[in-house]
Amino acid sequence: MSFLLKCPNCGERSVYEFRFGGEIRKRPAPGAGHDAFLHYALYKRNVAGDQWEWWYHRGGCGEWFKANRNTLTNEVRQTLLPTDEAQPG
Amino acid sequence: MERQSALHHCHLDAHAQLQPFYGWQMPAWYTEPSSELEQLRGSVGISDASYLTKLDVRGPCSVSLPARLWKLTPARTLITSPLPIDLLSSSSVTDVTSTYSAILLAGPRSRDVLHKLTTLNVGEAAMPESSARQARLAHVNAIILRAEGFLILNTRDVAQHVWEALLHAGAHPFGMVAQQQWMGSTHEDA
Amino acid sequence: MEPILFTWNGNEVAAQPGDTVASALYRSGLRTFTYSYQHGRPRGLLCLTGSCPNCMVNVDGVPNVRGCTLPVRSGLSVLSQNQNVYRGFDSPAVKRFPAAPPLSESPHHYEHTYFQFDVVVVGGGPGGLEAALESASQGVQVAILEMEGALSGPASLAQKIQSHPEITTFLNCTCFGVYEGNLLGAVQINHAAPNTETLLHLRAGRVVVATGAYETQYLFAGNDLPGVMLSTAVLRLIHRHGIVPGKRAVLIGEAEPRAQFQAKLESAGVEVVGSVPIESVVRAEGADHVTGLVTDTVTYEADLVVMCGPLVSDVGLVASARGQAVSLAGAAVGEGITQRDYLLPQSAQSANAIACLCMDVTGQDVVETIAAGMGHVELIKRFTKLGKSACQGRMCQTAAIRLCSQITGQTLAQVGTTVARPPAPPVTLGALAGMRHHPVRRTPMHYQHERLGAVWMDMGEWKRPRYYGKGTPDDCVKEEYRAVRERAGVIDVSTLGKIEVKGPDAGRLLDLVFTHEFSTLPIGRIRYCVLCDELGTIVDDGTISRMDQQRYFVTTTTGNVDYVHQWLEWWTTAAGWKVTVSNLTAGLASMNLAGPLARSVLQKLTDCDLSSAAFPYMDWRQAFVAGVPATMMRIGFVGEMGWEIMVPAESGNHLWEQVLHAGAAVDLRPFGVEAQRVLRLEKKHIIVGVDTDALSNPYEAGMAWVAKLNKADFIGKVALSRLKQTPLDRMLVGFEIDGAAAPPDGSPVLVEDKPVGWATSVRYSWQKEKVIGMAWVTPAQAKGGSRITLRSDAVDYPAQVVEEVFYDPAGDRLKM
Repeated sequence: MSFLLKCPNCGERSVYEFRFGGEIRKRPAPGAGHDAFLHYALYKRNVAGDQWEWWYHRGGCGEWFKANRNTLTNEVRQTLLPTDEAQPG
Repeated sequence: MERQSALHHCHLDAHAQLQPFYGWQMPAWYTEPSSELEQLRGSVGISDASYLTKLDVRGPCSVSLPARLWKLTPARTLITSPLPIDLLSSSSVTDVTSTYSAILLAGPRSRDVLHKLTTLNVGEAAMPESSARQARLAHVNAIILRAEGFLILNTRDVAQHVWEALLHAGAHPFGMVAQQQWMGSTHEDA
Repeated sequence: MEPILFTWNGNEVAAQPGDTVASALYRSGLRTFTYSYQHGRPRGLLCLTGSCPNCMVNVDGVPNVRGCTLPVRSGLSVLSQNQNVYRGFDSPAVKRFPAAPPLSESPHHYEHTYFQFDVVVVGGGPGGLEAALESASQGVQVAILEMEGALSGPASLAQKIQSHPEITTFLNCTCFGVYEGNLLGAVQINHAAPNTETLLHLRAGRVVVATGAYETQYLFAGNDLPGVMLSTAVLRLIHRHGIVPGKRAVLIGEAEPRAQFQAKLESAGVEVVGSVPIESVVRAEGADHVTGLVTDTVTYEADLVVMCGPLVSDVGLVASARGQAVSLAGAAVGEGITQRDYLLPQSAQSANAIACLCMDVTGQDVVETIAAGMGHVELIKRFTKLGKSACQGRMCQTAAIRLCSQITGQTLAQVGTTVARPPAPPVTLGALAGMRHHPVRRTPMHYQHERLGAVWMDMGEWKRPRYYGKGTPDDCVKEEYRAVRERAGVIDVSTLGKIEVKGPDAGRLLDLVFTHEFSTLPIGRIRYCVLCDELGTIVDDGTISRMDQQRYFVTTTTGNVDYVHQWLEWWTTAAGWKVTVSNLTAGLASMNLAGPLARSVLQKLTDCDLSSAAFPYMDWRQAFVAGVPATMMRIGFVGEMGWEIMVPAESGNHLWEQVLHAGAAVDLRPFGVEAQRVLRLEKKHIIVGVDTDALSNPYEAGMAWVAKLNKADFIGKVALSRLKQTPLDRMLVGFEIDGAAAPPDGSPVLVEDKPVGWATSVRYSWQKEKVIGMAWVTPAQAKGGSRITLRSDAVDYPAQVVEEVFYDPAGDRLKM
């Protein structure tokens, strides 16, 4: 695995500069109950295809950003800072 | 009493002539200033610049010379200066002078050295004068600033490791006297 | 001119300028270069392009060097070896050469370099050079990787390349793979410096594979005899080295290549006595060297048999790159190559026809494999090992595929080709490893510790003093322990994480991420903090100090600072809150001064009122200490009165020296991690990651009080609320061992010979004069007085659970 990931701040870098943060999911509201939190903590959709996910640029700017990546081909379609518009997840 | 750079022990080991510069104990020279400057101009050298004041600012700010602004991200700016910095800003400011060591890598063969230590594209077009990049260098995080060469900032705990990696990659140390002459002459050329 | 002298198995050999090790040895009369892997058959020069395994030798202690690729140098020590396998046991093959010597420790130099180019052209032949010039004319940065020592093709072309500002040429550089994201791996060898390899990582916008075509061999009985060579090899011997490899030659191949080659051979003075198609070949004859070729009509006497072999487009890199921006140029794409179908002779199926030279797989082996139902090239490869070794299929695959097609009646496409995977050719592990200059993290007081005789330990990349002094570890640690319990000691804790959290939402963030409440912590106070995940598992612990209305200071364990920093950044980002999180660990020197006399020592260095009335436990103050602006935190981990003093890193040395100086009067000692471990164990303070694991929650760790479930929301609250109701299935308890010996950390705990848990920390306590520790046990054992047994290396250590803290249970010493 050696694909390139475009950090919104630093530009294209080797994927090894980053830490994968998992698929983007919404945390349940505080009162949602035990089952909702258990599901949130343990279950993932695990999409075979395009997926919105968190990445952290630990070898660079040290910021978290969102990426849309195809989990089958590692093609990264889009990356954006959470402060950018058109927010997914 | 003067402050000591994280590279202090490296300078002692290299039998540097230590003198106070900007309130820090710095190597004035290792062998002899003019030969160090000559080697630097013909090849490549490294010099301790840890004395620089460094501020990490989140948000807008402005400064006057000799302080310099480096844009790390849209939201984050690094300010460096040989003197204390007078900053007018309502943004979040963190003094990182003690957190980062600074090594100046300079000379025509600087890129040959960098090519051994980092995957960052340090070519002229990719990294023009006054640009700033955050990347991995010698297996640790670094902030690389393009100015009269490359100013390499690391957290203090790995300063000696980076200094040794640069030496291994072919750079020779030069002291403050040569450093000031180098900075002065490149400013004149600009 | 000075002859170039080197040794072959200890004997001196003279070489000429321009010789490779192989050509020099051949010139000196050597014909058998090695004996084959399984059957011990003599092998000689075959390809002279670095594709086959026959000329592999040991050079200055480095095994498996292809002699035909190494320019000869004075003083080289070259040893024979048996193929590409170092065989240290008795076998017929080994007996043919003197006993193999042990591999020597040669000095090696492995370097890594990193480059970025718009276009990378692999192959410096005519096709590659043209492609490079074309790209460069568009103003982009181009690199050429050429495996030999010079570019080939018209001189004018090479000249243009050399002088072009946009083109960089890497010679003696072999590309072994194109990886995801157009990352190319290549190895460059410096022939002038022994054993020097540079691994290049090149990122390319576009890749052009111009690796040309290589000649491969035919399959027939006796094809592996020394003296049977590929036409490329013969031409190289003649034109590059001025060596004519025989007097009487027979040629095998297609009509046109044979005709062209015959003309070249005759002009070099070789008599061509026969020229035949492969179909008519029966076998090559000879014992150690070819003496003739038998065909279906006539037998030729000859000392040289030349295969004008099939040309194979070298597309391995493209195949392994799997469809990225990679294109082919030149002979690699088949330019100038026309191949006629041919049939291998019957003898190709015999035990005397060697299909795979590296693994010694015969034609008969292939036939039997197909007969057993494995008539696909991938199956043949896996069953016989054909193509799996040094040549990676270059010399064997073409013939094997054709043989399989002939036998089974499948088309060549149906038989298939094996999947090409990088690295090909093989790469040494040394080149992949590089110079191994691993990061070392040093605290600001590192050289103080050196001076004081520290015995170091590694904590991740950090160096920390385990203890100080030249005595036995036990004696040294005991002295440090006693200093802290009876007088005063100081330890460097600069490695612990220090994170500043500030901004309008700082309090909100800490309330969410940690289990306690911090937005209500008064300015000037410090609180212990625990960080849990959504499942209620303990991730890290530390302290948080309220510095200002909107500014907090978080400390973490040494190993978790990066994780906690990233965690705080992530929650800030996800919630869109206004918080600045800064990792200041390296910028602050931090030391813990502790002991009943700590106050008297510290008071010498500062005007700050250190009395308990003015400076209570869990408060912080800022003042000058030894003339340096410092933050003092009155906290403790070792159970004695103490202060953690933080100053800017560049003043750390000065402060440390001053503390030692001020403490001399009471015999203050520096203490290391080991003494600290004992001291805190007597207080039953957990170390996250040592006493807790990836599943521990606060309830089972005996820390129910950290979960503030009345807080509106925090990470892990829901899980912890449920856990509070759930009966525990294990608990962390203290214990004392009956005897004097201490089993190691991690020893299992048994009751009636059944495992009920494991001991996390075990140390001798000078306070209790007993071995104490902490262990996970089932709740049935958790009561004080319960009997348990630790076991290690088949030795039992009977013990007793102890509920009370081992030292100063009331905690009075801390608050003196």
